Amino acid sequence: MSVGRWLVGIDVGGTFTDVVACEPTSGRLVGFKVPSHSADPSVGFIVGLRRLSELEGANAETVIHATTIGTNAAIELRGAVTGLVTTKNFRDVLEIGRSARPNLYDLNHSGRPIALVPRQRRLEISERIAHDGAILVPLARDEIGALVQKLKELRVEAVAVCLLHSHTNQEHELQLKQALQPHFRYLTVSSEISAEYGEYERASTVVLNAYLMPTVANYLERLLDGVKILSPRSVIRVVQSNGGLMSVETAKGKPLLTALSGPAAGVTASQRLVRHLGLLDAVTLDMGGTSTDVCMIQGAEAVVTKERRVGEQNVRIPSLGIETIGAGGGSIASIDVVGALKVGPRSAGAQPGPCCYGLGGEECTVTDANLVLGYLNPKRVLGGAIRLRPDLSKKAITKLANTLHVGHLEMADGIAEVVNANMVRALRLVTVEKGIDIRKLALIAFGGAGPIHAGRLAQQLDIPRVIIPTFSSSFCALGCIASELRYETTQTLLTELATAQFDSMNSCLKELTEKILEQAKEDNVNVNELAIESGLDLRYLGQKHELEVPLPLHFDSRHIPVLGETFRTRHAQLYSYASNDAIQCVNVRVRGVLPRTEIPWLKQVVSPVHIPPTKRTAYFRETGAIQVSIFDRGGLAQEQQIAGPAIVEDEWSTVVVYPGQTLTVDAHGNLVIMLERLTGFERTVRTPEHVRG
Amino acid sequence: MVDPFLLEVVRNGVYSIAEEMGTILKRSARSPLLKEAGDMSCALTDGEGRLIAQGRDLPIHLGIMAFTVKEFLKRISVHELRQGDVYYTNLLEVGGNHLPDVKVIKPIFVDDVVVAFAINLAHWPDIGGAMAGSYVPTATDLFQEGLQIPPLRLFTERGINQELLKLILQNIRNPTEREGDIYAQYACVEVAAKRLGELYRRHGRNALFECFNRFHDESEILMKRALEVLPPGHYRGEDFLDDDGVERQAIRIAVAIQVAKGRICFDFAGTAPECSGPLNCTIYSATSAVYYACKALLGPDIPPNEGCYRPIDVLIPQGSVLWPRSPNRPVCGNHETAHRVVDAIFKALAPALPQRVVAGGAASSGVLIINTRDGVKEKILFETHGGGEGGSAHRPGANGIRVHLTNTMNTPIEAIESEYPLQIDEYALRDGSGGAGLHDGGNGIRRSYRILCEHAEITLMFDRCSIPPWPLFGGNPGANTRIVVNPNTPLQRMMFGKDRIELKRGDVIQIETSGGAGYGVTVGPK
Repeated sequence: MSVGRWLVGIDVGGTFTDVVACEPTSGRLVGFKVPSHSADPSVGFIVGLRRLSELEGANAETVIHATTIGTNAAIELRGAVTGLVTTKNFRDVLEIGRSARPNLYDLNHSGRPIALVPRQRRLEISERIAHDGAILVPLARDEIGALVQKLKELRVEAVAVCLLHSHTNQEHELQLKQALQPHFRYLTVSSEISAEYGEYERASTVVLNAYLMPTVANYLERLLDGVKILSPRSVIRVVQSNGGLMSVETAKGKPLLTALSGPAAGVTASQRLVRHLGLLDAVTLDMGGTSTDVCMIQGAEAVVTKERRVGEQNVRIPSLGIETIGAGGGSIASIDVVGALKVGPRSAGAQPGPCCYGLGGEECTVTDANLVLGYLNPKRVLGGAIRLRPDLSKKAITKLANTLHVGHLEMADGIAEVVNANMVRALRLVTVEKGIDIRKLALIAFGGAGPIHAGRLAQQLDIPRVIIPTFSSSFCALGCIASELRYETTQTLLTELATAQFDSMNSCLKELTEKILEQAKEDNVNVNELAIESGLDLRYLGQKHELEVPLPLHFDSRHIPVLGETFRTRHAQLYSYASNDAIQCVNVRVRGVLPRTEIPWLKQVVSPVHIPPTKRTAYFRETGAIQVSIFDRGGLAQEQQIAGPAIVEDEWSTVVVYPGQTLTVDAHGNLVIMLERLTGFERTVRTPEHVRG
Repeated sequence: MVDPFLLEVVRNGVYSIAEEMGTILKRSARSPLLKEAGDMSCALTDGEGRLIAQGRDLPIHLGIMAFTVKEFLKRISVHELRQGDVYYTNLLEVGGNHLPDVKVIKPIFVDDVVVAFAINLAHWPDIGGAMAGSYVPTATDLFQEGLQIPPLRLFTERGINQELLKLILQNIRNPTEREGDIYAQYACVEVAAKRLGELYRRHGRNALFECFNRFHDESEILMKRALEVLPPGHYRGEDFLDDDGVERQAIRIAVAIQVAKGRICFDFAGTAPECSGPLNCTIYSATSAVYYACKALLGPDIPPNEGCYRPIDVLIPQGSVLWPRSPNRPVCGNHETAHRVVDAIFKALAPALPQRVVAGGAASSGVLIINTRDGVKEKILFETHGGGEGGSAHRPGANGIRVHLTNTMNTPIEAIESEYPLQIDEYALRDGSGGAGLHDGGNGIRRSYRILCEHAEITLMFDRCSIPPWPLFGGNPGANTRIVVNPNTPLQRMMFGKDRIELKRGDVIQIETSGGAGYGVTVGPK
């Protein structure tokens, strides 16, 4: 029954599971939502796939999944009973960490990571490797039996191994892995997840990886079982924190890489959009039910980081530079002891959800405020299942309003104002606080609540233009199908650049490339389609941090001065000086990317069905309660201009155009909000030829 | 009236600059003490040297830098300053603390007027003097502790002054590494100047001037308000240093605190006289300790700037260990003395703030310097050690953490072993070192270094070796710091906290840091 080669993106959220599917040959693109199942997120995934085959009579060739299962387990500390095995005399490194406090003057140390493995489950084994990889004490194989027994007695479900200097010599970690494998299904060794020096950071990373393994693996297996029945030939991929895709097998072994799966997909979609529109710099705002993610895109590339916090743990994984704050549509508004209005970080989540869902929620949320303000359609039935109850929202808000002796509309507006202040802070963190001039940016807003608040945020931050993309309410699912399969391997090769051996460099490059090709073959990828590129991390001898410069796949003496010059130029840009001091090579990197065929969503031509606007009362600070025009999003014509205050909505999304703003529709169905004093200014965007991608 | 939105933009702007400065300095530095341990701090001041923003660095440095630019401006007239100038200094009188902490100051110009200064402080692993690492536990004058650099214009518009650079490098150990650090400190203030310049260009001089004044006023109001939790009256506290490294006797730090409406005064009358060994303080580092204690106990969230400290008076008797009268007193271990200033204040205010104070902990910078030598090859490891924190009203003390004034990180074992002929045999929590209580003190740490080269000179600057961390409300004290060479062998030798020894290949030095003291009476069996 399979028709065409469908590519399906599925993003499982708290309340709904988003599905966006496309068939590249015919250019057909569909998107819909099904309810999520809070007890088992894989249910929503399977229901979504089934719905697609019912709708299109098609089975998916590739299904790409963005999941938050690992992140949630890390934040809520609902991971496995984890054990840690270290080199003898070093089990406490995990707890001591780098011994510094996160906040200088805070005597309560809020935010200091707690060791996920308590002391009694931190075990040791005799072995010692020197910094150059030489084996000083061989691995004590005779201790392994007792080690296994101890771990079993402690009912350890997942085991992490971190031995000193394993980034230089993996041998002992691999031996231990082999010996423990028959006894423990969930086992992970540090050199396989982060092959860089720093015993604490490696331990903390591998421990969190182990901690998440059972949860993520069980989930993915349930998913595979379901897919097998429904569509046995489908290939499943998972979005990684760096925006690339990986196989299910990889995700099961490295669940930590899924830490930012969903948010990364949204940023990938934004990155595509930015390139397509010929823009360079943008900031993304993905506001969902419980949290909001923001990320800076510079020069059409999302900012990338090597180290980050997941939950409260410090980890080293390559990821997009996304910042998350605990504020969203479900954030609860309350009044604290001194009478100040607080919104979040507590959230009503999907269960019971906002009061207006009528599922038993009694605390007022941001969504309730938006409903009372008239921004959300009171007659809306979400997914044919949840009928909104404005009366319940009003009741909850009135209760708060009475405490502060204000009207319920002022109260609702105040709640929106406070949550907006939280968003402003998050947006500032990735822009202004990084020295980026926000007046040249575009704000790309998506997620359920993003387009409601974006206009106001732009006003407060001086951002001249807001873009609300097509599929804004399921943009992360769209991002899934816009993501590329990506492999990356790294090898430490410490040598001075001036005296670098071509043979060892080239054999390193060859080895890394082969590793990538091998992995790709295992994932059934046509290796001829892989684009391979390599890079070399360089630093001045004695420095700690490196700068990556592009490296040709075959290296010879001519390249040395070029690499040195590139390094010096970049160093001078970043640090205001460059000297002729010795330069050291640190890591060789090879990446393989499977370029994604163009997704038709960007080329979609919108043919509107004219639907006359209706009227509804909405409240704005500038005007008070007034009648505003409500436009159906599907009925907007290209280049149509709508002056605020106005609301544009469809079944899944609401866009608020605030007083003084104008909304226009571009050729592809993206909505663009401009601040009034800026309309006519910066409206023309450069043509796509100016940008790569 | 300042536009409230602009105020937030500028506030975020200056703080992000101060934090970016730290990143730049760490990323481009060469010595492990900076790039791994982060023994450095960054700040911005206005044109008069008043602190407007600081990074998330070390509290003791940050308090000191509140004075550095002001003192600098007393010596170098603002009219002498030119665009492109970058000054280096470690002089004690110029808002200094000890010689290895070298401050770099860059004036920032807008329309040919100095509007602000970028400043950073970096601890050089060596600044010359009698011993590698420039810590001389038995020093009796300042000249033994290294090179003194009066404000020196090392960079101008035309670049670095090679002759001055050579003069400095000629007088210190590890000159190559140090040259890299000198450039890293330069890179740091350059970036600050660039960023702050952008902020000025965008918002204008007057607007920024108004914002800065507003920051000071706001912090002042907040600190005054924070003081209201303290009932007006007198409070007294004292604590002791083990010894000064030269004379083996305890040194008293005494404080009398007077709280009145909106003001607090710290009077250190009764503190021990200046000492022969290197435990003397400068008024700047003593005051910095007072500022830290006030912020931690009263207003951890108050933006730290000049205004924050306006309601605070500090009276230090000249001739005391906190402000020596005789010139050229040695000071390298001043941070240990400053730690005791914090302890004395915490003890004094404990009855008034029982819910906020923390019992005594491993309040020592815990300095171990190893100068490794193989033939002519020499390399200096400068390492600091955390310990147990005291218990408090709400929780037990943390294990193996930096307490109060310091916040340097440990150097990863994998970094030490790659860069030095040393092997770490153990790094663990020290069981049973925390004092018992309703809430126990945290445990200290144990770390052992094995020498893998021909010869190694060891210098120690630790405190809490004979006088343990103090408990509160009926708890038990923490264990003392204990430093042993070749433990559990016939060659075993106990070391003093301020001490030195020469070791050879195969020798081991083991550091066990003090545990935190307990808070409250133990209830029931533990």
